[in-house]
Amino acid sequence: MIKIFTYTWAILKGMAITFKYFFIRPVTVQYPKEKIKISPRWRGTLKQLRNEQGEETCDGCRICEKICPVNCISMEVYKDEKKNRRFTSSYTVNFGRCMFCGLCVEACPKKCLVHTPDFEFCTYERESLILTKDKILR
Amino acid sequence: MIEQLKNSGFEEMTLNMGPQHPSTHGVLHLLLKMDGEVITEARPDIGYLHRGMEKIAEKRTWGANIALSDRWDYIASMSNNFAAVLGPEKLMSITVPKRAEYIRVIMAELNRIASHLIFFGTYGIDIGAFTPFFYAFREREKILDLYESVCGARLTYNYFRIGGVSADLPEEFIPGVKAFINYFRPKLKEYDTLLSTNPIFMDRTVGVGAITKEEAIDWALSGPNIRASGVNFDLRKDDPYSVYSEFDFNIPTGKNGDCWDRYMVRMNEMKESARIVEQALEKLEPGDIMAKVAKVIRPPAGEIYTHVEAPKGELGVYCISDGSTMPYRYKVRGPSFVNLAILQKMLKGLRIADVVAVLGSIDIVLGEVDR
Ligand code: SF4
Ligand code: SF4
Repeated sequence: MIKIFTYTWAILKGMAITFKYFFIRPVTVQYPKEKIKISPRWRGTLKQLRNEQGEETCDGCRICEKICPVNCISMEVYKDEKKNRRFTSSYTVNFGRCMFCGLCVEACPKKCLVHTPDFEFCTYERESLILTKDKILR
Repeated sequence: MIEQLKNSGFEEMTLNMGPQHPSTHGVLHLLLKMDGEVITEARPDIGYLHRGMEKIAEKRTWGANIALSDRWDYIASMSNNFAAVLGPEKLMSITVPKRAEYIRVIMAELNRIASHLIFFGTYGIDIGAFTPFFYAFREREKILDLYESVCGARLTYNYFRIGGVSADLPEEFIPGVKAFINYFRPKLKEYDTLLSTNPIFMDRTVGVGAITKEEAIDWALSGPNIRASGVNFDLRKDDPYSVYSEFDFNIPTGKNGDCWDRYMVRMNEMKESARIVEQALEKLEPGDIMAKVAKVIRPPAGEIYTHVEAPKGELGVYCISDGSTMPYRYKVRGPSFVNLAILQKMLKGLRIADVVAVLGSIDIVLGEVDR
């Protein structure tokens, strides 16, 4: 008998706490309709930046390619004799492998490789996870 | 009686629990030999999440290994980062700037709170109380938001670097942590009402799965599991790494080593962690966050074992360097793996209803068991 009483009392005490939160604004968000604010440092997909003149800044130094722990960056580099610098003719990132560690962004000496605050990155096919240069250079 | 039953066609039954059982905390497979409701033999079968982390590490640079270390114990990645950087730092005799050390301690302790919150929530579910789970995750979310603002990731932080940390704290971080701790303290009392002192919960945990002091030492337990048995063993006090010797905190211990004690040790540890974070915030001063290290990390040849007190126990990394950019050997002592071993002894003689209570109270994470 005493046992029943203590158990019920404990349940009631627990219920009191849950009841308290019943009237407080819920902490959850209705995801597809509402979105929470993403921190500017968020490590999302990668993109390459252009400089003020609209030229690409990346000079194909291959540092990002070498530092990536899962080898998901690949590029081809050529030398432009007129401008006397190197350019990439192709720059591909396989986001199916990328683990968003941020090491490539940290290592880029030209600071032209950055993360986007993009977190909704799902596709139906694996092929569309492989982004080529036209999608990365934005 | 049992003999009689056996003769009349009743026999021991082998029961497969997992790997898809919701309360095995991942992909643990338990082979239980049952005599009626009593367990006569229990054998954990692991390896479903094996990714060969130690072998992969031999083909990755020291820096990349920090990123991979996030995947051992994926709910307490900061502690893994901590263990991964200490070894090469010692080999290269790098002195980490004071500010970076305090930041590391803040991160590791917040991570301890986050990890124990997951334990609190999931243990509630294991026992049959569903509400604590939501509350625990609500609080954990706040910690993850703080992490996101610092390093840009919510689970795999990759925040520590050899010689410091990757980014300085943003402006809103320190007020954010202070606000969190003020918010979190009263919540712990609520948890006590919800679960810790709830007679139904206590009935299911007090006296269940007790580990004696000697057993705990024999099976090389560490972390809250050994402390619950009354052994005062905490690497933060016993072998202080980083700046832990500067802080004033207690090591909560239990007496009987049963499920409730293990649970309670973790709840009290959260309070102590909050205290450490507060002290570290006070000591935090502007300064460098990275020591001067070469871009390409080549620790001199040698071997070293470094360990940290992760939320689950002693997380150690034994690495051998041959002077190149990659480790020659990288051995990880995962606390969950070692703690899991005692399960086969504890479960013997218990009822099947207690399996989940015992398993939950050891608090394993399969990413670290299998690696
Ligand atoms: S974020 Fe990490 S895994 Fe992804 S491309 Fe960069 S270095 Fe590679
Ligand atoms: S590190 Fe930067 S500059 Fe070098 S190849 Fe990669 S993106 Fe281009």
